[in-house]
Order: sequence, then C-alpha cells, then structure tokens
Amino acid sequence: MERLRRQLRFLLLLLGAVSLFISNAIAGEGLPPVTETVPIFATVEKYAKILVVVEPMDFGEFTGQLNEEIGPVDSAIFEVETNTALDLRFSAGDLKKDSSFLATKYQARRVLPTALLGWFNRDASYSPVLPIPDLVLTNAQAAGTIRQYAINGWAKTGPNVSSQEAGNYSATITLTVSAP
Amino acid sequence: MRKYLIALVALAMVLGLSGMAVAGAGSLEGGATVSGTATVSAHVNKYCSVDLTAPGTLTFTGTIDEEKSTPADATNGDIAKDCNCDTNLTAAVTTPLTNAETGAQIATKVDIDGGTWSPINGSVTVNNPYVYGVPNPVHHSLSLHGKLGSTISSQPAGDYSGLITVTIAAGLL
Repeated sequence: MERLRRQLRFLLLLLGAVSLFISNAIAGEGLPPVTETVPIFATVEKYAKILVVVEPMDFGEFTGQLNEEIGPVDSAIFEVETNTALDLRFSAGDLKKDSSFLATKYQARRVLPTALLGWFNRDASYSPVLPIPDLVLTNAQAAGTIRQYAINGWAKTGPNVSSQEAGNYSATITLTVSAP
Repeated sequence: MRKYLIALVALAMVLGLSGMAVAGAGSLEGGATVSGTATVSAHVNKYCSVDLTAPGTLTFTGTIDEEKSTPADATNGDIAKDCNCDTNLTAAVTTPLTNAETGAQIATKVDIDGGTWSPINGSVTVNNPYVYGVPNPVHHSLSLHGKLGSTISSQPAGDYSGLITVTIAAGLL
C-alpha cells in the first residue's frame, strides 16, 4: 500500500514536470504577433457659424430738419467662426418707412486684427456704391479662425423736410459668408 | 417650484439671454452660404418748415358795406409749407385791419386756398395729409377779405393794418 502511494506521488510529480516543460517550450518558441491594418476615413465639410454679437444699430431720433446727419453708430457686430477660408459679403439698405427713406451709409471693419474693410450701400459722400451696393471681399477670412466684424453707420435726412415722413424707420444689415 | 425655476432658466438660455444670438450656421458645401442679420432702426420726429408771404393790400373807395378780397393765389399771399407729417393749417385774424390814428377797424376775414372765409376776425383751418413724393414746399394761398361799415363815417380814410397768424399743428399720425 505504501509502495502504491509512493508510485502515485512520483507519477504526479512527473506529470507536473512534463506540463511545465511543455509550457516553457511554447513560450520560448514565441508565436509571431498577428496584426491587420484597415484604412479609416472621415470628411469634415466646410462649415461656418455667424453670431450677431451686438444689435440693433439704433440711430435714435432725428428732429426732422433737412440735411440732418447722425453717426457714426457702431452697435452692430458680427462674429464669424469657420473651418475653411471665407468670402464675405456685407449688404444693407437705406433706413425705410413705407416709401420714405433716410440715406444710410455703412462701413465695415475687422475688429482684431483691426482693418477697415470698406463702404457698402452708400459711399462716404452718400452716393450709391457702384456697380453693386454690397461689399464683397474674397478670401477675407482664413480657415480655422474666429473674427469679429463691426459695422459703423451714418444716416441723414433729405433736402426737404417732406423727404422723409415722420415715424419709425428700419433696415437690416446682412453678412453672408461662402467658401471660395 | 424647482421644476418651474429650472424650466425658466432653460427657456432663458434658449432665448439667448446671454446676449449672443446665433444668426446662422451651416455647411458651405456646394456653394451654400450662411448669413447673419442685424437690425437697424431710427425715428424721425414730426417737423415743419414754413415761409409766409403777406396778402396784398386791400384798397377801398370808401362806400358803405364795401367788400374787397385779395385773389386766392400764391402771389397774393402764400403759405410755403414743408412738412413730414399730417398737419392742420390754421390762419387766424390776430389783429383786424385797424386805423392806428382813430382805432377804427374793418371787419376782417381770412381764407386758405380759396375755401371758406373765416368768421369776422376769426380763423379757418384746413387739414393737409402727408403725401410722400409731392414736391415741397407745398404752397397754399392766403387771402384777405375786408368789409367796411354801414356808415361812411365809421371808416375814416387812411391806412389800416392788422395781423394774420398762421399756425401749423401736427395732425393725427
């Protein structure tokens, strides 16, 4: 009986030694790593966002006298964020009330870095800007930037009191961006 | 209560009470554009400019109940008016034709645009709606009418003078 027990113990020790040898042999042999590479793709489209940071551009009250001018009024600021280069188009009209209007000129400037960009609707002498009243700037903002554009406005009454009916006048300033 | 407060705060954020409004955002592919719009406003107050030309002189022979009028045209009394709103135009006899030496008066009336004469020593009013595009100033005739008394002696010979006042008030607008 004792002999059988010793033989069984020996057998167990032998099996353990064999399994340890086998595992070490496998590890020592070094299975080569298996790697596979697949391409992945993404496209970020051209995108832009415009915030109206400050509005309205309020000229307040004209007394109604002829050739009365108010300006500059600078309370219209746009902020543009883009991931691509941009063309800018500034457009606006005269302040209007039905058929009456106040000659209105606008000047755009970039806030930082500061730069005067130009007149739109009417020029410095209130003459219509030709050939188109809009201020169009090509490749005016670089990709991956945030820029602010401030608008200065001036308005004046006409050569007759009756040129502009008493009351409230309104207009809009529009900034349109597009990719070149 | 807390639910309402949270909802109110959320609504305020949605309404852009932070002071910035997203005017526009989007893809620029395929020639698409993104725009933002700011509003511009102004107010023009009611205003009038007026230039008056006095009516011509009335010449009476001196006979009783004699009546004379200046023509209802702009060369014989003119109100040149440049306004930007509806107006009420009033002409009033402030001082009747009066002889400075004797104090004798001539019954005096006034009229605008050949309409209805005012009462003696009274006033007349016409309404002028604002019409855009009408060349200004707009001219209105200002006429003078006088009538002597029922006796020759009541109207001493001599020069008479008086005063007409024209008032422009804003009409309903």
